[in-house]
Amino acid sequence: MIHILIVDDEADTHLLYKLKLKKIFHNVAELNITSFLNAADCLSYLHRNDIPPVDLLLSDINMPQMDGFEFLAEVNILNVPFPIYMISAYESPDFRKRADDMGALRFLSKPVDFRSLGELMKQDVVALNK
Amino acid sequence: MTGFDFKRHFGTHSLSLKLLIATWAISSFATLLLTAFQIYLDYQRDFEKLRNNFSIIQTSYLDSMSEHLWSYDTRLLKIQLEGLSRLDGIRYIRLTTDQAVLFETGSPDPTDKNHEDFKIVRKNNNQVLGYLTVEIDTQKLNEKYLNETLWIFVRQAAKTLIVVLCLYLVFNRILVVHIQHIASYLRNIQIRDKGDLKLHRRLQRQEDELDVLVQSINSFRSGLQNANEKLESVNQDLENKVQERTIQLTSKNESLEKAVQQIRKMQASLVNQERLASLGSLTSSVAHEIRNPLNFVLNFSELLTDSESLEEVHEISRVILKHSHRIDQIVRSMQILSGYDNDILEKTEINDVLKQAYQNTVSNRSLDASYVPPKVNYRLCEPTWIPSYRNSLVRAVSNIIDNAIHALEKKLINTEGFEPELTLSTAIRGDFLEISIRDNGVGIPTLLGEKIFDPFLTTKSAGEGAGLGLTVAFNIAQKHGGHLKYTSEFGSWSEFVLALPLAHERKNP
Repeated sequence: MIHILIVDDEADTHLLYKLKLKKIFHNVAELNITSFLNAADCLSYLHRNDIPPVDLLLSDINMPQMDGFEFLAEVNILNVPFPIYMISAYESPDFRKRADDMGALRFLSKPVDFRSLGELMKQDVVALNK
Repeated sequence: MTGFDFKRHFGTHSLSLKLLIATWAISSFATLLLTAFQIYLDYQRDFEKLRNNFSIIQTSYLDSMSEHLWSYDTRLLKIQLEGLSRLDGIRYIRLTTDQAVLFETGSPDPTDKNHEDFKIVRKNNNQVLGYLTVEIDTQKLNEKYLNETLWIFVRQAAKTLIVVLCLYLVFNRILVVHIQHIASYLRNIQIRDKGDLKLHRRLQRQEDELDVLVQSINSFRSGLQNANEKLESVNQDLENKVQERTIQLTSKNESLEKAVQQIRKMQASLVNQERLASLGSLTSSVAHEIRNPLNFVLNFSELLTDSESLEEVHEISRVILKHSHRIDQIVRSMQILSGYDNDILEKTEINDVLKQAYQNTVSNRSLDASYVPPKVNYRLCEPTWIPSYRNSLVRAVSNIIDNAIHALEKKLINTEGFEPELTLSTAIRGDFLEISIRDNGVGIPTLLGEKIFDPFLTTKSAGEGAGLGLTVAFNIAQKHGGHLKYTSEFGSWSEFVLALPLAHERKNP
């Protein structure tokens, strides 16, 4: 069972990730996807004690109120053990570098290439889990 | 000037003439008075001399006449009376005794009062022997004095006339001629002339008033000349300065113009740089805006290819359609912003535009099942036709109305008992027609200011808008030669005013 958290202010993203990831990990692992429309909700979720262990966090960068980088900073404070992927429609070296500097494991740009995302996830998460 | 041409000079030389008349009058009057007085005195003296005859007769003749009459010596009486008649001024003598006229000589004048009756009395007994009547002749005296007076007056008049004429000539010669000369000099004087005023006369041993006058005039003239020269030099200086300044100004103008041209060049290059920079940021913003929906379209359509569930297919199709629309909207907005739209300028009724924009907004929102306010207030002016790009204008107004409704929606979610109000109005103010869209929604933070017109700035949640609505509206207002402005109180209300010129000036954006 792989537990993935998704933070994106567009609800359609949640559906997209759900369907795509389900397909990619169809024969690999069971998925538990928890989605949040904003970073604050996700933060408060992470603060809870009764949650299943998290294997991966996927976060958008451009979001109203708290953006992806602010969120990443907050998460870093919690000193979480799981990898974090930042996903943005802004394909800029600046964003990539910032994400890298702040401890995000990967930076992916939209439109998301789910094939490579699947490969990376398998490499970063599934391999570790096994 | 000869001084002899009286006719001419009397006409023009009133000073001489006046002097002539005055001298003549005064001198005549004085002569008249003095002569009259002299004549009167002479006359008195002569008259007294005549009267003296009576006292001579009284003292010298009467006694002897009495003797001769007593003795009746007629011969002696006659001799005596003849002697008496020869006395100067005796006109008539008559001796009468007892009504008989003894002797009579000369002719009497009854009107003349200058006669005397003497009684001839005998000394011893005071017996009246006779009467002697004597008349003196004043008529002769009067005639003599009349003649003399006339003669004196004629003589005096002639003398006065001669004197006066001489005076006139002299006066003319010593004064009037020079005054005329001075006058003609002053009349013909040119300020630049260097020549002093000089009188045509012999050198005077001592200065007289004319010399003083001439000196004064000359010093005045030279003073004037100096002042004039100074003025001229000042003028020249001023002219030089003006010329100098003009040259300076011209050169400054030229350098300014150069500077302006340089600035223009720099500005142009800056604008170009700015354009490139904004083009860069714009393209990256556009890319980002398109990538989001594209993410869905690409990935969902991929899912669609091997989906087995019909329900899933439906849902995925809906999402793909929605995000394709988003891309379409963005591309359309970009087209409007770039000006490459095919709208034409035509006379458009603005109230119609406002109503249509509202209806479009409402029907668009209804399609997405978005919030629509229960009512709208219209406050419209008289129907007004303005040359405008109708479709663009409808779009601009619609964008603003959509924002207003969104602001109402946001407030409705967060505020209990909130009554949304949307007021759409048109009004003519000066040369502009103003379309105003006012809502009592969440308002706009002051912080944002004019940034709200920047592209890709949005307060809407992801997927609800690309942040191009107000940018497009702003551009459309400008394209019409108008402007878009807003006022707002954060948390209370916002009002957007799109002003359009009543007469369209700009044809191209």
